[in-house]
Amino acid sequence: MYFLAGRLKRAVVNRVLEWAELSDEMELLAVMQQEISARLRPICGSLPEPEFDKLVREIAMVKLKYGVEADLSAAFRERLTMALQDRPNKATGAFKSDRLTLNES
Amino acid sequence: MTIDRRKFLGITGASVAASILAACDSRGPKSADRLLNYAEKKNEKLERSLLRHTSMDATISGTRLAGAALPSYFISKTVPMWNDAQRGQWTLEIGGMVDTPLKLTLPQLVALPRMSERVNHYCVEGWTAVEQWTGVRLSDLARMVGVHKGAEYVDFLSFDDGYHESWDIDSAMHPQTVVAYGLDGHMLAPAHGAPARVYSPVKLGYKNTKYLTKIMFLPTRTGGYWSDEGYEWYGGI
Repeated sequence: MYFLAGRLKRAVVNRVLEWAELSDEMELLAVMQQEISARLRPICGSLPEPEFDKLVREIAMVKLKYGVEADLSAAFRERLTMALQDRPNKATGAFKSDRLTLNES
Repeated sequence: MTIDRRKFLGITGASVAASILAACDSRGPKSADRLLNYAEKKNEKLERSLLRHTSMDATISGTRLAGAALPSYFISKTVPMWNDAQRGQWTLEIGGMVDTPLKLTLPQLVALPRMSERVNHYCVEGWTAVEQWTGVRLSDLARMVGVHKGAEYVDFLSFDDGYHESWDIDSAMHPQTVVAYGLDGHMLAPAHGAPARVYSPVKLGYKNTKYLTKIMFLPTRTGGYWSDEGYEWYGGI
């Protein structure tokens, strides 16, 4: 009985963790889409909006799948924070990382 | 028994690759052309089937970056350097079978969505090195210009005395294929292909054109500097 209860508890905890991770992933995807959109706008801004959105979405999905962001591990929060910190400067439109070394993903 | 893709390629391709590549500056006897062409076709077929375009290169944990030890290579007599005063501002042209051809300056390229990857470099001479490249995924650039369906090949052209190499589209669209402008956290130096070069761990070093000026999406393969000298055209890992 205790054994079954333990397994059930583990299954519930795992499912909750999965949901939390999925939510994190969606959050990261949204952040990435924002950044990609800002970076693409100067070059591809003339595209019709649905095409531009599709382009942004596709690039974000590749980045999420194959970039370091795909590894939703312990460092996930740190990366998300880093991504958030790399927002373009509202006044200049420049990305902080453009002025720094290139050691970021 | 299991055998990984690299070992399998290494074992089965060794004899074929050796016969094609051993004489680096020679095509070998003319009478061997037919056999070598046959072997290369078979080799390419095998490499294409093994690549599958889903496997990712990964470095061994703890491996140090080659840094300054990474050899530089170019065909010009001196290190090729873009001279703005003589040639105007450097641009990267992306064209051929595309909806919207693009010309990007270096600041425009750097401002695009970027990626960094720590990957292996495989030289045809047998050595390998680990480097961290930063740039724009070629697949992202392809999406931006809208590549036509019939474009099966990509030619990478340079200002290094006419050096170029053409690739199959699948390798070009691999998620680790990048138009790189950064190496080990710094902007690319002239010795390693500045302002920008193509880099992918799925191709041997000589396929990764440095000093890029043009990326052309094409319906047919257009050879390359070393490929035309008898090196294997596919040059896959």
